[in-house]
Parts: sequence; C-alpha cells; structure tokens
Amino acid sequence: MADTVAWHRRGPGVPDRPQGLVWLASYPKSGNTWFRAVLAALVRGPAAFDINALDHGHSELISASRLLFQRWTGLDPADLPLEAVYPLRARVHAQVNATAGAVRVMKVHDSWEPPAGRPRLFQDAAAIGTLYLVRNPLDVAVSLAAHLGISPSEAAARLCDPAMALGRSAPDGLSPMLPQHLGTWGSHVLGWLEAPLSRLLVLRYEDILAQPRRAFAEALRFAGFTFTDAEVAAAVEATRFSRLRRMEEERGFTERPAGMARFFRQGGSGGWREALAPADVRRILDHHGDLMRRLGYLDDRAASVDTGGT
Amino acid sequence: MTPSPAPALPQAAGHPKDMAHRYQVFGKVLASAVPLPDLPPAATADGPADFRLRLGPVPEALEAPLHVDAARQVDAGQFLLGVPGLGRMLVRRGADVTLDPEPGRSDALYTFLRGSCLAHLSLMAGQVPLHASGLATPGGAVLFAGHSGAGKSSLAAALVDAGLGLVADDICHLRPAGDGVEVWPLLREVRLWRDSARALGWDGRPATKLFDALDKYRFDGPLSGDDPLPVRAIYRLDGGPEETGVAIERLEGLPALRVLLDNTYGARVMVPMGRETGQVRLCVGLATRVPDYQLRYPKRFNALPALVDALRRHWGRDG
Repeated sequence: MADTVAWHRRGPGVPDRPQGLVWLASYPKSGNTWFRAVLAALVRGPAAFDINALDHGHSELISASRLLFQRWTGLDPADLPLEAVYPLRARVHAQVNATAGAVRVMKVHDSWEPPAGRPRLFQDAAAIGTLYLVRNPLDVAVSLAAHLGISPSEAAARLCDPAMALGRSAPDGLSPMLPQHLGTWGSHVLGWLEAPLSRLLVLRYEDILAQPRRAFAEALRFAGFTFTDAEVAAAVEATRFSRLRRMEEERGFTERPAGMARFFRQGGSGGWREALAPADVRRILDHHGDLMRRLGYLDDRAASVDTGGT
Repeated sequence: MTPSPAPALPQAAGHPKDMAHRYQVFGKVLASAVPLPDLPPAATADGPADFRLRLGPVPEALEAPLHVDAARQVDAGQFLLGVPGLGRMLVRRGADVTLDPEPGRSDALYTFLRGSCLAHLSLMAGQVPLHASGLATPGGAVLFAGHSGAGKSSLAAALVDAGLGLVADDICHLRPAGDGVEVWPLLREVRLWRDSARALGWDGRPATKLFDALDKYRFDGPLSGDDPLPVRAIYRLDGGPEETGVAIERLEGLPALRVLLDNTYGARVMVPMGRETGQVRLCVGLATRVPDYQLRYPKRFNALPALVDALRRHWGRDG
C-alpha cells in the first residue's frame, strides 16, 4: 500500500508553522462540501455535527462569502463595483493568513487565473498550502445538472464554457456568495495544478471515496491539523453519505440551491454511465480528454474508465 | 504597507465659504464642497455644520494605526478607508470627511457616502447605524437586520408593494428617544439586482443603474416623511431552506443585544477609537427599549407573500 492517497503533492507533507490560510479549491461538485462536513465534524465533535452548521468554526471561511468580505473590510460588497471587489478579496486572503492563530481552511471555487482584466485573487504568499480536489468531469456534469436544475446535456456544455461563472444573483435573491469565475473544467484544474504554489496537495474524489479515512487524514495533516486517526475515522463515520442524505431529508440543507430536489444525491462515481448521452460524453472527452487521461480518468483507447469507489 | 505622512489637517472651521452645499442627515447638518443630490437639503442656509465633506488628497496609510484590515485603518481619531480602483476616504474626529476618488471614478463619491461615510458619522455622533432595511407601518417603523445577501432589499420591495412606506433600504440610523427608539429616514431607495427585480415584478419601474458590471438598479419607492419615526420592532432576518416555515420568535437578553451589536455597520472601528463601551451601552439601551425578534423564513422569492402575511398578522396582534 503506497504511503499516499494523493494524486500529486508539491512541498512538504506538513506546513512549517500550522498557522495561516489553507485554500480548499475545486471545481463545484467535486467533494468540497464533503470535506467541509468532515472538518466541521472534527471541530464541533461528531455527535454535534449538523449539515446546516457548516458555516460555523472553520468553514465560515468561504472565499466568495459576502459575510466574510463584510467582516474583513467593513464594506457591504453589494455597494461596490466588481472591479473593486476582486482586489479587496485578495487583501482579505492576505489578512486572514497573516492574522490566523491556527489553521484556517477556506473553500474556493474561483479559477486560479482571474477573468481577463481583473487582478489576482490568489498569491502563494497568502496561504500556507492549497488542497485541490478533482473529480471525473463526466460525474461532475451529472452532479452539476442536478445542482443547477439544468439538463445533463446543458451541464456538459457548461463544463466546456470558458465564461462559466457562479454567483451574482440566485433564484432566491442575492446569492450569499460573490460572483465566481470558473472557466472550463479543464482550465480550472490545470490552472490550480500548474499554479506557482509552493505547497499543493491534489486529491481525486474517487480516491477519497475508495479510502476516505486515509485520504482525509493525509489532507488534514498537509493542512497542518494534528487530529488523531481515531478522530478522523469518527468524523468520516459521522459524515457518511447516507447520513448526510438522511439529515437533508429530515431537516433540509441551507446550502441547497432553490429548485434542487436534493443536494446529497448520489455521492458515488460512474453515475454518468446512466445519466449522460453519448454526445455529451463525446463533448467532454473532446474538450478535456488529454487532461482526463493524465488524471487517470481515461485509458489508452480513450475509453472512460471507472476509478476507485463503488 | 509603508506609512506615508498624513496630509495637512483639513480646515475644521465651522462654515468655510467653500462648503456651499448643506444637507440634513439624521438631524444634523452636513456641509459639503460638492453637491450630494441624494441627500435632503438642510433646513438652514448657514450657521455651523456638524459634519464637513470635501475632496482632497488622502494618504494611503495612517502613521500608527491601531486596527488594520483589508480595507480599513483606524487610530484613536481617524478612520481611513481604501478601495482599490475606486478611491480613499479619511474621516477625522467623526466630523471632517475627505474623499479622494480615483481619476474617472466620480461614482466613488456616492459609494463611500451611502455606506461607510454616513455610517461612521452616525456612530461617532452617538447613534447606531443598523445594517437593516426599514419600513413604516401605521404603528411605527419595523426594521429587518441582516448582512449582505440576507434578503433585506427583497423583503423591503415586497413590503413596499404591500403598501408600506420606505424608511431605508440598507442602513437605519437609530437613537434612543424617551422610552423608545427612533429611526431617521435617509436614502430611501430599493437597490435590486436585475434578476431580483424581474422576480419581484419591479423591472418595469423607473430605475437608476448603479454599476455597469453589477446589473444593479436603484428604485425610488413610496417614501415615509423626513422626520424620525418611532421603531416598533427589529427583526433579525434568518432565511433558511425550502422546508423552513415562517416563524417569528421574540429574543430576550443577550440574543436581542446581539441583533444590534452584530449588525451595527462599521462598528469595529469603535474599539481602536476607545468607544466600544459606550457603543455597547447604547445598544443595550436600544435593546431594552424596542422588542427584537428572530424572523425565520424560506429564502425564496415565492415565499415572500406568505412572509408578508405573517408579518401583517404579527403587527395586527401586537397592535
């Protein structure tokens, strides 16, 4: 058994000083919420874990959160033009990193590269490390379709759209998140993989599914946490997909977009085989086939392969 | 950040000749070197002004700030705000405002004024600038407090449609008055994103576009008068998922106080300015004078009519 579950690691496996900002970056629907749930269960204790309280403790740190912006600038971002919001978000990152007395994990969906004409949101010096989560884009498309309430075919097109963005307004009013530029799935992944970051750990969703305790333990160590294996195991147990799903059925989920039937839907890998039409699979392979092969999502015959998991 | 020397102290004289424009904000006079057409005119044409606003150079940093965050620097007597690409603002002693917009960004003036500037002047004048929308009911003003994106403007628009007068869309300036609390109507506009305006059926109404990139508009709705109104209730907006029903629950003690403390706009500057205790005492005074409630509701446009109905029942029952 290899000593790592990560697909790629750059820099030491633990930070020099476990104080500062760790970006938890991913394209949407790639395991970010799962990771935050495990972290919330560790911070609050597995018994107190509640899917509607992911915004407590560490996970109040969402890079695009309007509330975070307001706390660290004293400004309501709704009062500002977007070109003023970008540089202030970069300053918020630097300030959080400089003043954190412990490890602070911050969820990110924005692309590493800002959209044309905007200043950078992320600089290596503003974080002590970056965790990047990546998932087979064929499964991402299916999950994104349910998330946005669009057809799988439309979702496949979004994964190939350089202008893809999140936020601005939501069907339920002003989104609690600021607008986030994503770009295509491939440019998102490549942007973060090739970013000039001195400490980067890349985890495949499928590998986390296959060995959740080992994967989370490694990622949490990389971030600078010192949880024991038993603590991580208990948090993984408390946030098993079936439990997240049951909690959502019983009490709803605050972060679920309007019109979406359920947020915690399937949580596996390979679901695209039933849900995606051949033309949609082809579109994603045409756009992202090379990167998918590099990540182990395609075999040499360009046929998509199942990895890990169920 | 390298501190640069502070500029020469702006003239703090009572009514210099260059301050030709005079406005009324929360019962005080703001003299300005530049016109501020969104503010109501002052009742008197001359005399001393409580606040003075001018354009001029503002340094990038304070010499020895006691608090620094992503946009603000504060010392015992000064509040410096810097927004990249838009400009800087310096307020001295809670009275003298200098605005330094970036070239070509005349919109910086209104952006600074409507949010941080008026909130800071209000705080320093001994009031609570609550991040809340306010509506006038026959029994007094009702306020809905919440952070950016909490749903203040959408609910304000729905209540304007239900016939209530608008007191404020974003910041309510509060002060204790006898046994009660008063709110000053100011900047009565409803700012909605284009998608929200469409969902609320407001997209056909006259609007002013605020920012090109933001698709955000300003509506001038039915207004309350300019005089302060008694406040009958403050609600903390607590939007939840679709399963949430509408529920109004009275808050007492610390949770009630927190509605005021947590939603005071720009209150963080009061700590380095040595005024935190006074500010907390003021909020305690307000919390004991006006009932605070938690307002749970499903944060969906299609839930707004039920929310408006529930609020009306609440106001009816309480007289």
